[in-house]
Amino acid sequence: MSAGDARDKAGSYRTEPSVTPPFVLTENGPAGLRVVAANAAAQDQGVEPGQRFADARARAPDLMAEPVDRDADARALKALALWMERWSPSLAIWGDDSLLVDITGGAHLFGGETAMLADIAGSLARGGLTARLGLAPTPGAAWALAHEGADRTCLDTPDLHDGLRGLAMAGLRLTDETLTLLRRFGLTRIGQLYDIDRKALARRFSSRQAAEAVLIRLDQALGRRTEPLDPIRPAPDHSVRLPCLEPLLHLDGVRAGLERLAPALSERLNQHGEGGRSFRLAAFRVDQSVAQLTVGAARPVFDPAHILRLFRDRLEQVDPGFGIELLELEAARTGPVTVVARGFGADFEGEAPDLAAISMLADRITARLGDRVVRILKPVASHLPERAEALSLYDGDLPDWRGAIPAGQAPRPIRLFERPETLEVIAEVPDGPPMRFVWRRIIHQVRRADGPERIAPEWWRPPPRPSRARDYYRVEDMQGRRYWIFREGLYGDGRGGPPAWYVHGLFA
Amino acid sequence: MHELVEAGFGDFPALTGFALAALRDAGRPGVSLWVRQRTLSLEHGRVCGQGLVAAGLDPGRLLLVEARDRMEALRAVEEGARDKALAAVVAELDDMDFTAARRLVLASQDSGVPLVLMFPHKRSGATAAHGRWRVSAQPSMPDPHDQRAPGRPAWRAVLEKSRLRPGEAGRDFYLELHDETPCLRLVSGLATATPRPQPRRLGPALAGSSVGWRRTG
Repeated sequence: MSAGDARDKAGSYRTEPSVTPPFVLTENGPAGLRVVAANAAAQDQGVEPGQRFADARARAPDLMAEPVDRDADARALKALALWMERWSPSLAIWGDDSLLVDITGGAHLFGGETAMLADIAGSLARGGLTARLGLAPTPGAAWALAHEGADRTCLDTPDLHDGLRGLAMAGLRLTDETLTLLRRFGLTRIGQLYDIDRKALARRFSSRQAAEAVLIRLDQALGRRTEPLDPIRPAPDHSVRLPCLEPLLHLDGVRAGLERLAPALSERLNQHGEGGRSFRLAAFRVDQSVAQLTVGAARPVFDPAHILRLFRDRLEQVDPGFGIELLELEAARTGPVTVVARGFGADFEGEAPDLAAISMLADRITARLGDRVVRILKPVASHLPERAEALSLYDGDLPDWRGAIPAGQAPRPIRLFERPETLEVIAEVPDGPPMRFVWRRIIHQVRRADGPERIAPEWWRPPPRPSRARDYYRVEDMQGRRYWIFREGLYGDGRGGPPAWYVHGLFA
Repeated sequence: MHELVEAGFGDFPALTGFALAALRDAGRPGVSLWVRQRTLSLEHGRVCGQGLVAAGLDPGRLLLVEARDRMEALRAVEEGARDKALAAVVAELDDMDFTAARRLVLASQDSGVPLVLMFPHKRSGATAAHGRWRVSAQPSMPDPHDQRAPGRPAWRAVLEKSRLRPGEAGRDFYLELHDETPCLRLVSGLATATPRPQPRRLGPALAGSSVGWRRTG
């Protein structure tokens, strides 16, 4: 475990030590402007975070200040976290300045734990970030080492107890009030809590929870209590990586890298008999940022050619920036691949459509046109025409429409408007079919009409829902065009004013 | 590849019905691709699944693509036209130039997938398609069970252009959809509302084209 501390943020990211002026970030609090963070030059002059800005300026007259932007800080930390994934896919953000990386089982890839810490520290320093690292068997201990221990301390399980003993109490991730209280008892080092009578400690606090909080943090740091990480995103099911000898500066290089990664990932998926429905290409740039590209497939696929085709039209979205040093291809939302043996010829195949070929076509169209464009009509059990079918996303399966339409239902139009359009109608009162109507400013004389088909509101649904019954008519005008017209409400149904007329669909 | 064009504004549903009848009578099993352009969907509504069932097609075998503009729609159509696994490709487009049409014809010839393109009434000029049909709705004959109700859908289809048989260009066909069978049937004297339809043999204009309908009578 390690925790990086990006305490020096925003203004002091890229610093040149010789000319750095004292600089602080400030925030408006209840007691006026306060210093939130100070760079090394400011700290040398006695400026500390938490001071009032007026006091800080008195100590360092040439102090430069800027208001802190916590949202931007959080975004920068998130971006840094994504880039840190190059060391481990399991990574969590803690507070507003720490990252926890779970390197379990991965340190040997970087030449051992010490070498790995050096690698991380070197990479962060190249980007101008000041970071403090600590490595320990538990997240709590790693956090304590990074914040209160010497930089790049590395602790193993047998040394954990002794290693933490001398660290300041602030390393236990406690609130300021708790720390003050503990200091009043004379407890300033973590080691002092080891042999303390737990019940006695609880009596000193105003509540049991406050005392518990201290002991929980202690137990978590010492590994007596588990502490699961909350990763910034779920770990991928399968992933392959391609480190680049020289940073890639052009898309051709990315394309070539992808052409090597896709067969490798396909091999991996194939071993498990799985396919992925979502693929993510992450390009780790040299300047501590990540370009990501995610493509989806309707059904699980593992064919490398198909994976490449999904990426082909979108690869321009990857900006190599100052150079890409690592490419990673991940497969997520994996599922078993069903390979169906095909018949010898059209005579044997019968009616069953080739689902794999269809979903590949859907993927190609999605890759060219964008997400959520390929859809399919699914039947829904509802009387209301606009609810009776859903235009849902194609997910690789074809819905079954057999029996979806109740027997004896009056014919439905071939085209349906998403929202019915209003009409001006002359009709027999109270419930005759329309004789003449104006739609889109054109007068239509009704030649033949059929109806009404009454569709009652679905009272069992939660509101908002239509509350008036509808009478649908099938009418034909003088040109032979056929419309599906309805009157919402009845005369004197006591649910609002006079009924309104709408056109809901068009017949062939 | 065939083009269907509205005769006047408002004939788009007739066009849709005509295309679906053609699709069904082409008799290719499998999944079809239906590409719609958003502007046309707003103007004329979207294709309705329950209505498809009435027209004798399975809505579950229809993949719908909503394209934001003409370029996207053409891309999707071309992608579909190259795919042998499809039964047919139907598209609603606002217009298309000759080059695009030629591309689609070549793609469709390679894969053997029939293409039916629907256009608004403004579409005119040269085309690379095998034929262009101008379709309009026709007043129907009364329903035999209810004299006041609209009868079977009836259309007039004029073969405006034909590459395969240029001599046939300009012929017009009066067609009626039989929803029980269901099939298209040629009738004469629709305009005068003769009560009994008289089936006639389909002209050779349709023979050899990629869209064929079942012959009756």
